[in-house]
Amino acid sequence: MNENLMRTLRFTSIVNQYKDRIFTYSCYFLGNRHDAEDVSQEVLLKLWQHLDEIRIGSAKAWILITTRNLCIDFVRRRKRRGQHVTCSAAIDSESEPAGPAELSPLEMANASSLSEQIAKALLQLPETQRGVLIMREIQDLSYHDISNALKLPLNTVKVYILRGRMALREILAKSLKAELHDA
Amino acid sequence: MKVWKCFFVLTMVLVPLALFGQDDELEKAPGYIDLDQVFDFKKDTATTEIEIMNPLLSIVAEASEAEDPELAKLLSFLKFIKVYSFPTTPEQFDSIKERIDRADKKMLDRKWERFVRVKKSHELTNIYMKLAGKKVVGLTILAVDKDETVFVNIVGTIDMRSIGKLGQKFSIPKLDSVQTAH
Amino acid sequence: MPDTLEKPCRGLSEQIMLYAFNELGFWRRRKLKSHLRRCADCSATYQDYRLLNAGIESLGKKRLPELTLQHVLLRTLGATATSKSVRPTPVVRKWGIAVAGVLLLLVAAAIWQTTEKWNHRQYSQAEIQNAKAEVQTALGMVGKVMNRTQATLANQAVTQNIARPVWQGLEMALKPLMHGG
Repeated sequence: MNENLMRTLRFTSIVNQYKDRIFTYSCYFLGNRHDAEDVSQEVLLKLWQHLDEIRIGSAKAWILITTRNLCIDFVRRRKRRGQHVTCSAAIDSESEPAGPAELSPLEMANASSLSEQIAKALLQLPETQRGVLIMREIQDLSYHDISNALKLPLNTVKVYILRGRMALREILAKSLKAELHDA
Repeated sequence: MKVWKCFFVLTMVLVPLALFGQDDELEKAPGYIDLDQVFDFKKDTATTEIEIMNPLLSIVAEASEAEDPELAKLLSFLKFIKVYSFPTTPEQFDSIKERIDRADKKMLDRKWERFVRVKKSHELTNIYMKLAGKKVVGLTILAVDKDETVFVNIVGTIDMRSIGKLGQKFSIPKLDSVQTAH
Repeated sequence: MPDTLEKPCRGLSEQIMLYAFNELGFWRRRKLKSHLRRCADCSATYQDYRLLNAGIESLGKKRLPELTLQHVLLRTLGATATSKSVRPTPVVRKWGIAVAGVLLLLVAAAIWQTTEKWNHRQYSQAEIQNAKAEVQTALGMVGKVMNRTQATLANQAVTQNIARPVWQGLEMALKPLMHGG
């Protein structure tokens, strides 16, 4: 098999494996579907450019770091342009259904509107906590995976997740209080 | 189609580069030093001013092949020779020495290695080399004595042994006064 | 989730959160469960986190739109799912590149030859002889300075500043003078 064909096969294999993960991360990080599409495209194009530099077995870490970095760059560019984010990355028809629930129907109904609020709340978190939480909660990566991928100490990852969850709880409580006040 | 476009663009780039690239190449050469920038020549009247670069150097090398193969070989690796000299009186020595000291700082700033500095009451000689690995790619001399001030810059892969030998051969005056090593 | 946040018992906040997210070890979980049965504030905190977990789990993964993927593949592999353009086969393309490469080399060689001939034609014999004399004068001046330097160094009555790594170069240059060529 010639080199070009090998390269193409490797590229398409990695794309198929990670394209949805990249898009999911970008959606929840940026809170905007169109921006997430742009960033996802950029990540995949960079993957093509740098494919030869990525060692076998390191694609996952590379994808995670690159997606996170490009999302952060995007957010900073947005801030410089003075643009605001509106969350439009809530549950839509293209999402995969959530895993089996251990909650009652009432709790599940509450959860679906809650998920919209959570998606909004995520955008209020600092970028470092947001990224790590998305990887842990939505992409189901282990603490070790996140630590290795982002080259952060394990304890740092644990602290980010701990603080992120606490912050989400506080943000949600405040927004619920605001809703009750408006009602 | 893309391949032919690339071919066309490359050809269009190559033609001007081949014809006009040489001057830029000299200035970018590590062994080159613009003596006019390093030393203020405006007030001095030159007795000798020599500036030879390629392709003339290569042509001279070819022309010397038959009668002086060693000279031909030396020149074939050189890109540029500049020599500038003007007469000096003993009264002017101190001021020229100061100008050479200022030039010395600029040379050292440009990462030239000064491997000889000889200083006497009426003589100052600084000899600099620019190295690329073990090769000498530039030689610069700033020298003043009671009669003359001399500046030399030679660019290219320099065979120091040949320079010494040929320098002896062509030097003026003759070498009667040279003290040989013990 | 209540509109005000309950504060759990000191030291248990992290454990409650980990328990709600199914990340607490077996023995600590047992101990905490028994505490939660007795403590209203801790129990309420646990419920908050449990709901948060459920909400996050229901967020769901996203699928990259096909159009975005197509754009990427177009720009990388040059492939398209919809159009059926005819592309040259790999063998034909290889030969095309090889021929282009050879032609390029020929053009480069022709330019080089032309430049060389043009350069030679620029100078007359008199100019070349003059340049030769100038080269000899230049080298003579270098030799003169080196003679003087060697003589002075041999006297050893001077200030010297010699960089050791390149001293060999000077030695080589001055050796002919020292040993009479």
